[in-house]
Amino acid sequence: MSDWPEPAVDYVQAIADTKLVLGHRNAQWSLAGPSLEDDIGGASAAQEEIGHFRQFVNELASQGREKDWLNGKRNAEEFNNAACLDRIDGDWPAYVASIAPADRAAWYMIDSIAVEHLDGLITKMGEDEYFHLEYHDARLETLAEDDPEGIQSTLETTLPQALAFIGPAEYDKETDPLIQAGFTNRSITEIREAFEEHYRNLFAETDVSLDGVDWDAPVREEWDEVRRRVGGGSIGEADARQLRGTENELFAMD
Amino acid sequence: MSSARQRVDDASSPVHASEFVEQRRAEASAYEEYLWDVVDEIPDPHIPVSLVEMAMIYDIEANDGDVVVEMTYPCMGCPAYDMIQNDIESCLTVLDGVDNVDVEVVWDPVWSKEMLTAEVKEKMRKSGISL
Amino acid sequence: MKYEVFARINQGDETLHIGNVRAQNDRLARMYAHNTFDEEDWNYLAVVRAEDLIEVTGERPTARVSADE
Repeated sequence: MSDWPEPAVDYVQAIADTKLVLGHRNAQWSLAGPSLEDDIGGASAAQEEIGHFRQFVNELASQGREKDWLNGKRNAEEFNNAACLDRIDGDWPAYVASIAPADRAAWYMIDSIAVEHLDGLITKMGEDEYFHLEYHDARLETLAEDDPEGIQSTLETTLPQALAFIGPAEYDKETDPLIQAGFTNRSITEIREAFEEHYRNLFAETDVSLDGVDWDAPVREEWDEVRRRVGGGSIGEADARQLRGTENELFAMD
Repeated sequence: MSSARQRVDDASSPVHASEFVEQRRAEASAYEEYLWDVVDEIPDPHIPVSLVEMAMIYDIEANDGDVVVEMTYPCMGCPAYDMIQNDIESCLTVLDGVDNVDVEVVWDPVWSKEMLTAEVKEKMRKSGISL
Repeated sequence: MKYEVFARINQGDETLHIGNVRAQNDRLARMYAHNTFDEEDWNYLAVVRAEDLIEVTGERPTARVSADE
């Protein structure tokens, strides 16, 4: 298997960690939904996200990253997940408005990978993601009716964080290092445009205004290209402990 | 930007999907055929058919004691992911002529229920499972 | 809003009524049906608003109905 350029390994690491924390958040909230159907969907998505993470772990291990480290034996600041998943600031609607942008951004980034040997893997992930993303949008539509202020307020924080996860607007066809390396076939600029257009359309007929969203984030000079965010921050120590799973090792099958 | 669904629709799949595994198996040596039969005894943990019948085993290659099993899963988030691989390894490593077993998980082609033969679908239907 | 859920396993099979879901809109009803009935690999899964389901057979006609009309 050919070696990926270092920025590509970091790119996949950030996507993988976002999947891991998405799975974790889905699991944490899977008894808190307004209906049993929401909870079933959340629990099912949790399992699928962890399945996606597991495959990325195999790929990253084949690129030289250490498997135990990938599987959680690391500090909270070493998880390179989208910042909007660091914590859920609010109730169930805030959870939806936090995970939805992260999941959509991650899918757009995965779908842009142009490595032939990952084609089947990405197609398989797309089968799951169709339902995750459709569910998130369906839920955001109803929440936009029930709680427009709450959803708007959460999105004003989480959308720029998801944009930082995708990457800076300056990375177009000519300057995006992953396009240049042939690792992706869509530039960060293109992914951002599709992402913004999607959410503008989704909320166009609702009382949720996206005018207060900083669509230009992140500032290139402040952007951490490894952790794909600005201004530091990380999941909490309790999250990291749960993801490490050391307290459950007693129950693990050898 | 394609949607997830478009990506799925665009994906190419074998024309006669159920023949894919049969073609791979047809290329097996006599010894590899024996290994296929052993793996065919391992049940899917969720469904009363074997891993081979579920079309999860894509290929088995044996070379001087080194055995490589190429397999896939119907669901990427399969909770029995490790258990199934452990089952394969433990069934094969005890056999004469096997020194090392390597299970490789692949996603190309993507598994679909069209890979199941009519006989297997009927067997599952009789057990009350519709696929 | 209540939605009736219909499905078939294979193309050519009869489409059967398999249950119902309650959802705020059509899009969410589709996803609820998927989440709830995903155990089978359906060839076809559909939701119909219960209010749009017009029954052909129903209660026996009564004398009052015919008298009123």
